[in-house]
Amino acid sequence: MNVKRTSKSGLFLLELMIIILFFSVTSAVCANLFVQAHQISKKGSDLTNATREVQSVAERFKAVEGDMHDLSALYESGLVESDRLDLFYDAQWTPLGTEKTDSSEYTITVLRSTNTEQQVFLNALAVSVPAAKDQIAQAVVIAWDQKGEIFSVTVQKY
Amino acid sequence: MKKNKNSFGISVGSSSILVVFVVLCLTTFATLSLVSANADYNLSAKTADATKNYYAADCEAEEKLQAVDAVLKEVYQGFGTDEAAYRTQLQQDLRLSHDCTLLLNDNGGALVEYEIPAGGERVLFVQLDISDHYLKTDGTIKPVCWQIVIPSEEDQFDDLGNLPIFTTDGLPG
Repeated sequence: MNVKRTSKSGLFLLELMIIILFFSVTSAVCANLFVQAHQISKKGSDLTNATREVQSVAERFKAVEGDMHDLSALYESGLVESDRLDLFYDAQWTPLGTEKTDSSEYTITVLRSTNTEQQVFLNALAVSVPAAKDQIAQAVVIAWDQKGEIFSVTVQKY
Repeated sequence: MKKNKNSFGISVGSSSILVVFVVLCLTTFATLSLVSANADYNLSAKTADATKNYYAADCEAEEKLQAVDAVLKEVYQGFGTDEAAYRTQLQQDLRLSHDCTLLLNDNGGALVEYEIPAGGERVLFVQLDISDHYLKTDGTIKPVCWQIVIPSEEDQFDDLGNLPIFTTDGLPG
């Protein structure tokens, strides 16, 4: 008499296939979530560092009462333009000075106001610098990178 | 007689349970990292907003400082010979035109105070010492106080600057 044995291998194979499919879909979703979390974390870190450094530059601008030559001397640099100063930072927001290098990733630009309102282009980023008020030194301090503006403030000193 | 062999292979369903646990762990960690990153970013954004609001208030305070300087010169030109009239006119001009308060003490000191809103409940409180400029054509104005305060919290402090944690009867606040 032949006894028929029902093979469990087919059922197991089917289960394995469904499990692998399910795992691949969910792991793709989770990997996407991890990547998003990393990007948001980097964005937050950039914003925090930019806020700190812009604040530092703005306070120095106020300390020198808006004199761009004194401000550039604080950063041990010779001023090239009388109403603009660029400060470069690497990926970890370590200051690199006023000379651009290959490791420069972020820039803080100080744009001093003149008698008329002006539009300044920082790569693809357009920055509107308001006209200076009488007897008040004014500047826009902006932190930016290749993607655009990170943080900016307008600072005044009477 | 056939011997029954004991099979020790993986039974149907155990791999499913294993994968479900792994997927649960993965999803939990991914969600946690996303929520944590979002919370950190929101905190960074709030700090950036607060800083921006402070500098906007700071700009307004500098413009008001210029206005106070101009008022002092203008009032002296009109009323410099009569101290009482000078004081009255100065108080009026500062209060009505620039929302500033003039404080005088018996030693000849003069202070001007004003507040600029800096977002939410915060205000930039400015106190200027105009003693060197008071009743004079020109002089220096020294900022004595230039800080962010939260008026609603200030009322909770006593004269020594302490928070009332315990009262004399030992009960909290």
